[in-house]
Order: sequence, then structure tokens, then C-alpha cells
Amino acid sequence: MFGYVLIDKPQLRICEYDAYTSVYCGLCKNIRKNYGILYTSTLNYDFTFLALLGFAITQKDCSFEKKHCVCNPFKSCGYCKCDEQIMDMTSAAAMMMVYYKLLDNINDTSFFKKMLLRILKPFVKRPFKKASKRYPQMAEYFKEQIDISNINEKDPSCSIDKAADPTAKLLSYLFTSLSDNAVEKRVLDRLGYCMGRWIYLMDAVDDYEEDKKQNSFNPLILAGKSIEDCQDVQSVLNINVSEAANCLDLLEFKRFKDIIYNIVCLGMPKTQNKVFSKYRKDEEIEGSI
Amino acid sequence: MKDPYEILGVSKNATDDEIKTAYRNIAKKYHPDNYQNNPLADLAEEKMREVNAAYDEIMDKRRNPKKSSYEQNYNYSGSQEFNDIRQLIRTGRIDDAQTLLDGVPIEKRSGEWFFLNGTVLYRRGWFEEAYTSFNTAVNMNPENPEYRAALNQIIRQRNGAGYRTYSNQSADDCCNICSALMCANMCCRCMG
Repeated sequence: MFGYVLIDKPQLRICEYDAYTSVYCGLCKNIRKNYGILYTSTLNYDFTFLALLGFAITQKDCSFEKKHCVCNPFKSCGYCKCDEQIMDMTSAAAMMMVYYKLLDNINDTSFFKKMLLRILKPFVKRPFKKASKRYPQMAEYFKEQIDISNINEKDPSCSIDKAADPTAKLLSYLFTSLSDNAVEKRVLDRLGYCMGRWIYLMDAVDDYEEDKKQNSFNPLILAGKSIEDCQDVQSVLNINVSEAANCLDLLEFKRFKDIIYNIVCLGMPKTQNKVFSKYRKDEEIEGSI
Repeated sequence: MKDPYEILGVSKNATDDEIKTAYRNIAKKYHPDNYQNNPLADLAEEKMREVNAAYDEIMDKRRNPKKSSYEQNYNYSGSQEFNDIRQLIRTGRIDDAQTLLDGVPIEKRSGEWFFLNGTVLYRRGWFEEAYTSFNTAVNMNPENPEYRAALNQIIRQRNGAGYRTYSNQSADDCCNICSALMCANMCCRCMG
């Protein structure tokens, strides 16, 4: 998860924005409690969405309290208190993802950057090990999908769908863990899969130029997609957002419905547009964000 | 049974036209076309049934309208050899359907094979390969409405059909609020 799943802030009501940031702060607090203050800096809004989705469908009550920020004692934050199990699961997933992202970056970067990142490895491994102990099944599934992803990256005939499959399945796993209801699990499975695909492909679009220069693995380049043909590549991404939106219509939201719809139907297309704008070099689009 | 007015999202005092508009907007969301080849199609169908029942209950109480149905029946003109695969898809056994499809020799892969292959891939979430497969099916059998409908559905989703309605609605709401505020402002000025 790479920080693409964002709100369209101008389209949110102020109370909804406050609720959203409270979930973020609640997650930050949970990471500090379970893994230490150092790792709060690794939190991004993708995991906030995971926690938010869990809170949106849970039967448990939600409350908000105002307290001092865990990182800045002079600042006051709103904290969302809901299902602690969902928070714990989300923060564990975040620690696992940070570790694997670092390993991925170590493999994909230049020699000097590799050396620098290797120094960080033991620091990131510590919370990863702690999270893996608490959620061994999740850790095993993460490893399984990351291994498949690494194999795919060495396959010169790997299709876009095959390349995106491990990340999609990972998110599918995390989303289905949010509910015990069989029908809800089916919807969350599909929602997670589509959003996971979208995140993976967004990363591929974002890294397209750099991957082309360094001759690194990129499923879009392999498939012969030209980033200049924005309409074609956008279509590859749009379908994931469309399918995700269809899934939302089948969920019973207890709360935060408008925030979730804002993120999927407005925020994700907006982020997509922003990433593509660097290839269109369209000043008008950049200025409007 | 939930309150039918709640299901349609209208008040008990809503006019017949308001109820019809609300019904149409919700039915558009759960229309079978939006969930074609989607593994969640049965859930959408259930929601559609709920919405239809709510609409009928409200209108029956007010008067006796003709029962509206938003359901379309596609004519499956499939051949015998692929009926097993269709049955597996219908019962959600996607992996088994894929195994049977892979077992068909390349020279026997007809338009129907590519259509069913696309269906299985779409259910798995492999949208790019599904799109290619549906395209091939339509190229091989351009007159088949089933294959054409599947291709049109995936093209619609690739164009953002699933989320653009929400985007437009949200933009319209903002425009309505701004327009209302501007009109109110002008009225205040006119009246001193």
C-alpha cells in the first residue's frame, strides 16, 4: 500500500474530515502503543482506509475523544475509538507492509541507496517480527504473495493481470479479515481485490519512466503500453475503481458511508488524474488539484 | 421486512413521481448490466428484488399500477459442449470452469470459448485478459448479443461507469447549493 488511497478533501464535509483524521490519529496511537513512537512515521492513509472501512461496517459503537498528539505534545488530536481488534490488525498489516516495501526498494535501487536502505532494515524488521508473532497467518500470507510477486518480476511474459494478482490478493485478505459475516466477506473480497489491483497498477504508472530508464520490471512496459496513450492506460485503471464502487453498493454501512464513497469514487480518480498529469505535462490539470 | 420507504430513501409523504425517480436511481445501481460476469451478481439481484418489492408495496397501497420489472433475460444460445462450463460458472466454481476451459484444444476454441474464458477471468478480477477474450469472442461472432453485451459492459467499466455517477451527483449537489446561495443573495439585495 503506497499512499494512493486518499480523500477528495474539498468534497468532504468538515465533520467527515474530522472523523477521517481521527481514525488516522487513532491508528497512529495504536502503532505507538504496540510498536513504538519511531514507527508512527511509517503510517500512511492507505491503512487509514482499511481501519475506516472496518469501523464503517462493524456492529461495535464508535466514539471520539480529544487528547494530546502522541508525537507533538503541544498539539491536540481527535482520536477515534471503535473496534480495537480492527486497529490492532491494521497496524500489524502496516508494519508488515513497511518491511516488505523496504526489501523491494533495496532490490530496485542504485548501489549507494541500497547501502543506506540496508541500514534501516534491522529497525524495520523489529516491528515486523512483533506483528508476525501476533498475526502468524497474516504474516504467512504476506510472505506467500510477496514470493509470488518476486517470481512474476523475473518472468518476461508476465501479464498485467498476473503481475497485479499478489497485491490484489493481499488486500483481499486484509479486507475480508474485517468481518465475520459470510456475505460481507464476499463483497470485501472483491472490493479488496479491485483496490489492490488499482494500487499496484498506480505504482506501475507512477514508476513507468524510472523503470524504463533503469530497465526494471514494469507490467505496463512489458505489455507494450505507452504511457503517452493516457486514455488506454487510464482504462486499465478505471475498471478497478468502477468495480470497487459497485462493491460499495452491496455493503451495509453503519457509519462513515459518505467518507468511504468519497475516497473510492472521488479520491481515487483524483489521485489517478494527478499521477497521469505528470505524463500529460498539462499545467491546467496540475493547477486544478 | 424493512420499511419500503426506507429502502427507496423517500419520505412517506413523497409524491408518486418522487418515488418513481428514487426507484429508477436505485435500480440503475443494482441493474444486472452493472454486475454482468461479476461474482457478486447474486447479491445485487437480491438488492434489486428488495427494491422492486418495496416499490410495488408502496404503489399497491396508493393504487394498482402495472408491476415494473427491470430484469432482462439474456438468451443463452450456448452449445452443448460448453454447458458444463456454464453450469460451473453459475454455481461459482470458477477454478473448475477454468480447468475445463484450459483443457479445450486450441483449434476448438470458438467464440463461445473466448466468451466463457472472458467470463471466468472477469470473475477472478483479471480484467485485461477478460477484455481481450471478450473482444476476440465478438470478433469471431459479431452477431451474438450475449458476447456483445459482455464486451459493452467491460468497456463501460473501463470508462469509469461504476463511479462517474457518484462523481456527477456530488458535483451537481455542489452546483445546486451554490446556485441556491447566489439566488438567495440576489433576493436579499432586491428586497433591500
